[in-house]
Amino acid sequence: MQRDTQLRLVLELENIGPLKHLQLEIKPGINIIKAPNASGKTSLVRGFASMFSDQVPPAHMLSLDEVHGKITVQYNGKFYVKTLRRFSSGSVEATGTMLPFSDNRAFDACVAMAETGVVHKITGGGEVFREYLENLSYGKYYSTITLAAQELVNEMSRELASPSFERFESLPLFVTELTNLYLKHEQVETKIASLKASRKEEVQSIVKKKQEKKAELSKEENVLSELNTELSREEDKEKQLRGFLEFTDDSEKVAARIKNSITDSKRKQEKIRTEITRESKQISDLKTEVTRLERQSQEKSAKEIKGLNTLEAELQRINKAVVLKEEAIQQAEKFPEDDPKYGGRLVIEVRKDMTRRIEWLNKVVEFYQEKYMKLMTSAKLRFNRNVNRAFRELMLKGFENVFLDQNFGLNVIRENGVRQPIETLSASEKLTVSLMLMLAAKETFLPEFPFFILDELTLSYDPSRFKQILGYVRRRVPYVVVTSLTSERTEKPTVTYEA
Amino acid sequence: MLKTRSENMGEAVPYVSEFEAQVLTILRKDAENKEKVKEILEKYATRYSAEAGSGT
Repeated sequence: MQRDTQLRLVLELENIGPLKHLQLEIKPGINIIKAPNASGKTSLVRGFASMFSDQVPPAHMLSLDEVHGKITVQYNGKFYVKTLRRFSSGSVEATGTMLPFSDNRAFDACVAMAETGVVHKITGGGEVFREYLENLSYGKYYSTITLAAQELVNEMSRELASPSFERFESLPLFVTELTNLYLKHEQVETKIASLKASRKEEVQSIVKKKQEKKAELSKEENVLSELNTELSREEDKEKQLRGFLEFTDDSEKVAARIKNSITDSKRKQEKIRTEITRESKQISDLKTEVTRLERQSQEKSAKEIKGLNTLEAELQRINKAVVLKEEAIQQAEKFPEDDPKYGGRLVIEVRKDMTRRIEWLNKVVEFYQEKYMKLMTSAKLRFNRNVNRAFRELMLKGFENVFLDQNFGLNVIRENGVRQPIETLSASEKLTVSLMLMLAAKETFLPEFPFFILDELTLSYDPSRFKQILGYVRRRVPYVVVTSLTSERTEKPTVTYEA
Repeated sequence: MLKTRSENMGEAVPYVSEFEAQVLTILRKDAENKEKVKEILEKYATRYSAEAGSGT
């Protein structure tokens, strides 16, 4: 800091605002730059500010009728040059080197001009200074990280709730449904098999019965054949006996015996015939039975099984449902090949991946939220302390306390202890509060920054209070630059010094 | 010495130091470059997922 106070700074501007060429020296102490209206005071401040902060848009600096401009600062024996160039599109680009103490935040904390954050905000009645402190304390970095991570979490969570992933959520239900379909399929198949087996058993039973009857028929036919043979033999025997009787003259005794034998044979024949008749009847019955069983077996085989068609139709319906369910499971398990983001990948893998990414992002959100809270709380405390000290030291009449509350809202407490809304402050009071806040911001966040610039804020200001404030600034800042309106007719701004 | 919760959290957030160094470089140039921050967040989230998935 002591070193800076020993250094002189030469500022040279070419084609900056209405200034075609200006060179002036800024010395340690109070530098009062005077010029009449529209002679380039604000352009000068903007041009100089652009050498330590890039918050000044290049288009706000370059003369409207020029395509090239230049700002040169000679400081500590070195030259720092920024060139401005206007393109045919109308846009203006700035390139070059910045001063060694450059800090983007300095434009908000050390350059008090109508367009600067605090002044603009307070004159507009703004009361919440969270963003202002965020920018100065770097809390903005943490809030940007938190916001970005939170947005990613939200994007991924939305994606996880999309139809592709929702289908995956239904996968257990689909699998249960498929299992039920398979069970049902098995039940119906068992029923069909059971019906078919039962029918087969019935037919087999008839066939067996028929075979038994056939065997019985065959046996009875053999018996009949034997009976016929026996009858034929008896008839031959009778015939033979009658031949014997015709040619027997021996005795009556022999004749009687032959006659008896003939009678016996006849009786026997009669008996065989009866037997044949009975047997023929039995064979006829058996044949009828075999034919009936044959017909019954054919009819049974040909007849539809009752309920089988319904069951087979149900089986077909189940098969179709199984195919559809398996397709649904496949879709729920895997992204289609033509999916632009996850084509062909398993949903479970992508889901796991996203869940893990969300897990890390949530850790980041929690970490930086806490870091942000700590940083902002500390920043606010230090800021409030410096605001309070400035008001106390300057003993500005009418103000009891000025501070940021827990919501970063600005509170102005009057001497009677009453809180006064910002928009009801007078223009000069708003300016006082703005300057006090900026000075506190500078002391809190940029204590080493060597400049404090006030651009034409004195028009409606109490000169004695302004002098008091300047003295306070001078005690804390090596270089103070003040622009002021003058009625003197000068072509260019001129600088006077107060050590 | 007792550690604060965020210090403990920092240990629990893998790659946070490496990530922060990269992000702050971006944010120092443009404090509102959320899209670039998102890119870097995605890169580390993907790395975390890959390493957690492979059991390392």
